[in-house]
Amino acid sequence: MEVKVHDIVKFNNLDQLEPISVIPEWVYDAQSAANYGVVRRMPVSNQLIPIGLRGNSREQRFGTFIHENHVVEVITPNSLVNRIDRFNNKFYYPILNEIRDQFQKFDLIWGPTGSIGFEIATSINVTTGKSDIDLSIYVDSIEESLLEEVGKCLNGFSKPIDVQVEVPNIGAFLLKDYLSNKDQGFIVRTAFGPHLCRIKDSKIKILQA
Amino acid sequence: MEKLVYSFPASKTIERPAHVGVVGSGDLEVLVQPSNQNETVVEIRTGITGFQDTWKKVIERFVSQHNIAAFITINDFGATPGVVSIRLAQAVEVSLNDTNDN
Repeated sequence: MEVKVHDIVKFNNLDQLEPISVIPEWVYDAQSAANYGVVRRMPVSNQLIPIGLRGNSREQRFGTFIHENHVVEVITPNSLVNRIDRFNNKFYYPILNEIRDQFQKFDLIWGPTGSIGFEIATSINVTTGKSDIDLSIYVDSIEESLLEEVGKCLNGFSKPIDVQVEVPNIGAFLLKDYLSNKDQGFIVRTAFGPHLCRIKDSKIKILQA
Repeated sequence: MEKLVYSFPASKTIERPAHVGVVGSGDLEVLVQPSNQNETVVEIRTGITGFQDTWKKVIERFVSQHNIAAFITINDFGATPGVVSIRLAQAVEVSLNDTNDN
């Protein structure tokens, strides 16, 4: 089973989580934690998928693992793009709809993540009017002009939009960090932790720690 | 919003202010101002409450490695400890380097 960071996995019940740590009380009370976890940025070994459960507040996050045999559905952020019209009474709808329109001119795969992505994936209300607008975009390699165009396009929106750029086998970085700091140093989050990097010849190079 | 303040003795002065990091999910902004007091004061503003112990460890580790007299402001947007440490080190590098235009 292939899962990526930010994918949302569905499981049948909390007993199926790997018994590696004590489950906090709030997990049993939060509807959002009962059947869904968000894949975390960590290596997958022994078919154990690292996931995070979310509760009702930003402090309520529980990192755990689930065996892939217990995963009944994988929902990718990209698959949510087709579902956004069902959420047309939400504050984020006009923004996502506009992004969907604008992004048609780019050759990229994208999707909503964070609380908005979770809400669209699960139909469980977790957003507030103040929720961040988080997106992931998926590129095969660093294409500097594309990333600059995407950045310019999103600058025109009335709300700040947080974009993570996911690069296969490497990790992800914030588009904003990349655009401001690609020559001096921006942070790439990898399965083995964050690293300060810079772009050289369109490739990501790790700077000495 | 939670505000945490830590202070530690420090002796080394720094050349210039620094501003690194970005306003964005999982990241933070670090602002460093030189200080002529013999201490470093770190003020953290975060929307994610309940991580005082983690912050304390990260900051203690930082001051054990960098003896700089400064006023450091952190605006946190849910950064992991690893990201916080990288940004702090980056800010110190900018502050100590008088040829950097940042």
